[in-house]
Amino acid sequence: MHTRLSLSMPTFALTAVLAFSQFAAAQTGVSAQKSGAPAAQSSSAAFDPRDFSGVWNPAPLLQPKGEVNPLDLGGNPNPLPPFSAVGMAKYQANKKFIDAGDVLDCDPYGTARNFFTPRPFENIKAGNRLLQHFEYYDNWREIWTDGRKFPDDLEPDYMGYSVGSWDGNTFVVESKGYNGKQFLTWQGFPLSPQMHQTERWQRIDHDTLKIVFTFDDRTMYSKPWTITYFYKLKDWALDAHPCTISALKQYDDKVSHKDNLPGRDYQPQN
Amino acid sequence: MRHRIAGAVALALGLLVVCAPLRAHHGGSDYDTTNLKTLKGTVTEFNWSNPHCQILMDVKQNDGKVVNWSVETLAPAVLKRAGWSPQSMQPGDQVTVTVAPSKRGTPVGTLRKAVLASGKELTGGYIGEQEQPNP
Repeated sequence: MHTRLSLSMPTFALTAVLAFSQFAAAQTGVSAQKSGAPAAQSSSAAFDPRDFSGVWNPAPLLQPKGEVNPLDLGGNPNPLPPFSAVGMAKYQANKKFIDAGDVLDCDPYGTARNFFTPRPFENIKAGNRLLQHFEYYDNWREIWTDGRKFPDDLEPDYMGYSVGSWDGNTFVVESKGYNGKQFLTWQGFPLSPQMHQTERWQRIDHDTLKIVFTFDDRTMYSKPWTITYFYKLKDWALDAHPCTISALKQYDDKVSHKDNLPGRDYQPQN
Repeated sequence: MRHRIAGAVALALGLLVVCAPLRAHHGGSDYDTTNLKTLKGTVTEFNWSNPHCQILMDVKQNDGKVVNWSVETLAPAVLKRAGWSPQSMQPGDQVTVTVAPSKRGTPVGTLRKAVLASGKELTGGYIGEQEQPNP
């Protein structure tokens, strides 16, 4: 897949731009979506490299080629992360679950999957924390910036526990305390409670945020591995809609079952 | 000719990247994105809801039989950025929608474009960003 993609990349890039041009056009004239904040400026505008506040929209096509692609949903993602045997088995089970049209109810998406969902999030400075609000599923995350260490009695959670510090102008976020019940990516790559996630945030120009994610989870993976992702500053207001079980049931009734998919009625076969 | 084929392949790949999360909730249904289908009919329901909005519409087939189609869209926030609102469709509206149909042959599809009762044309919205890598 990646070889074929590389061979046709110039055409692919042009086509992708054309495909996105409709998206870009759709952004204009939608005044209801404006936040009232100043419009996003050009990349050459002055900026504070330590200020990540604002609404950021993922730019999946900027990911370096050859990395594990968290949105490669064609059924045979290539390359795969360095699974352990346990991790590969869990991924295969998750894949069947996803293929059946099932979803993890309304469970929060966790941090990684939220970052790789092609929907915007907002960073909000709040005293000794940086708050993150993810539009899809209306999930929130807090990153403590007061120099604290991880608590000894971390309570496992979907969104984990995050602390941030500075390495020059790079914001380094470390997260632990995940409960392992969510997927790391949309393909169902797994994570366990042993996950130690590190993010290195760099604002590389006014409009662009680069984050290098390192996933260290020796239960699911044989070694740490990384994903580099980019985000673009927007002048949007988020339009977050919380997930509800009733909405999922309605979706199954109206779409999944009509397409002969079990959806949330899926029962794994051993 | 080879360039045209390469272009078509690239278009398909590009749309696959752009629209990839479409199949995330709908599992491995794999909508047929290469054989789009145009449906003309009467809206019976328009559900403005996560995870994906749904358009249900009665479509009269060539044999005269009326089939109720389910057309899923992207999430409400994405549709709103593409110019939609919860009032864009009402039961009874005569609309034309272009869908990528389910490969299972069921009356299910995912939205690509719609012409509303007012004649207004809307896309199904797009997700992610369009910028290319910095050199």
